[in-house]
Amino acid sequence: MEDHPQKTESKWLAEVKKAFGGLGGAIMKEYSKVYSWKGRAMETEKHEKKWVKHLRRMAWFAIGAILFFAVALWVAPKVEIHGARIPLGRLQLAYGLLSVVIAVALYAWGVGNWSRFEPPKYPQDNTNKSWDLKTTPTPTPGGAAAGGNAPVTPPPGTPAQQKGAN
Amino acid sequence: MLTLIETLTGFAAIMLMLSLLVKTLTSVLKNYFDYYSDNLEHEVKRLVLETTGKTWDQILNDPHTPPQVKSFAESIVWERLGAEFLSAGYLSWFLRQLDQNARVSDLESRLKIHVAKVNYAFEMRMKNLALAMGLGMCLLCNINAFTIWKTLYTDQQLRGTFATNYADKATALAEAQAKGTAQATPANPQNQPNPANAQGGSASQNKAQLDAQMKDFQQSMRGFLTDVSFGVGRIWREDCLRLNVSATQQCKQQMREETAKSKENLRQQQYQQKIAGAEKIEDAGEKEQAKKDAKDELNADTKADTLAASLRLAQESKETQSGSGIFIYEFFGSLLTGILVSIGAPYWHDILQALSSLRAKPAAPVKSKA
Repeated sequence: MEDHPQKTESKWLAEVKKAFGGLGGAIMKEYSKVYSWKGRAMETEKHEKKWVKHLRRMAWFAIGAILFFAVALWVAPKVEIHGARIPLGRLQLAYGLLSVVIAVALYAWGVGNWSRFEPPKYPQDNTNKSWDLKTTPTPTPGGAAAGGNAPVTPPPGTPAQQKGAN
Repeated sequence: MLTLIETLTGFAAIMLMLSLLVKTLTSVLKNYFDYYSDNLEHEVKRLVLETTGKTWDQILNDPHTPPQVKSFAESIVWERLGAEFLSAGYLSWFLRQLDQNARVSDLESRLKIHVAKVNYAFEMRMKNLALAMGLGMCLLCNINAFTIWKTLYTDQQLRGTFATNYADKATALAEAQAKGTAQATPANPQNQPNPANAQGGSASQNKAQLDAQMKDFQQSMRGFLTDVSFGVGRIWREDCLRLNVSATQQCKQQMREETAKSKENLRQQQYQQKIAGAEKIEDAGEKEQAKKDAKDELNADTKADTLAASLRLAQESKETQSGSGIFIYEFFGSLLTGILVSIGAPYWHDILQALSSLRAKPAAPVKSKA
């Protein structure tokens, strides 16, 4: 599997194209270029499949959101509660939805999605080790971690393997 | 020049008030969701991984882990722990409990990094929370910075009030809040973000504190909306918000007609009641007089309403802004307010003080010349 990275990539791209069409394939090809340029080579098929799944989920979510937006705007002026029409116009509803979406997106990005600081789940798994380490950000105020006296953090899994070897 | 300085002062006072509101709201959410212990938990689990080479879950799921260690690890209530938990003494014992082979030799140095990470992550999170809350609040309440600025600049009386009384009120409130925060932190020598709250009192104390904060926020918000009513909530007040001007005017025309119709109906009802009352009068002269009065009143009301409607029509015909124009203006105005508010209360407080001193200065030379 890892002996033929190009073959794996084309297979993976074919899968992306199948899932999202030509445009999705092109986007993912560009993405993989940038990704490998950053030194994070697409290593395993497992990782790629995970990305395809993730993208598919994102696409469904985006379609759902757009549909919800459209349906809400269409239905709003017609909805009646206890015989009284909701006094909200389409533009007012669009404004409200947009405001909520912005606030929630900001919250999810800056506050809610803090689980990216969680430790990697499979330290012994060599295939996941490299990207897991790199996706774990290390905010270091005042350069505490970057200082020369700071202890070097061993890669996850190293001590366990050494113990096993001893 | 004075106009500009006064407008700036009034604007800064409003922004300061809003920043204080956002601060209160952020504080309520911070206490409710307890983000600090969340960050602490992540960092301790990272430390466990680095020193033992196993993740937290692996240790708990490992069949070789003694049951007492498992129950001990599972019984940890992270919400009750503060930064003092991250001391070398506690953690070397804790890590040895989890794994006898844990590398705890350089723990002191590691912990400094982890404590810094917890504090940094928490601070970043709080900044992002304030930004999200500020933007959400300004957008949903439609607090428009453009309208506030324009109104302050054009209305002299309003500008005077906001540059003096309201600015003083906002400054006093900001200073009181800053004092309160300073008094609350002595337990926290390194000015660490939350620990006192995280470990602090019992659940009932926290709830009471939360309720008090929420009540305070609601009261302040109500006060703000009353004071700054001129720049708030236009998008929700608009009855005819349509995409283009002709549709807006058509909607307004329709609404005018409906209003006129309902008013006419009301007038006719009142007239009929008065006529019925007049019919009961026995004296013919008085009866005629009452009928005549009712008729005159009806005519006067109709005339007044027609005049008011024509005035409103003239005013509305001047306002040719379409719904989409209002939408864009209000959206970007509110977005700007959210961004300005997220700069923070200390910044607006400093600006307000600088402007107040600037406003006070020109008065002195005038007096000396006189």
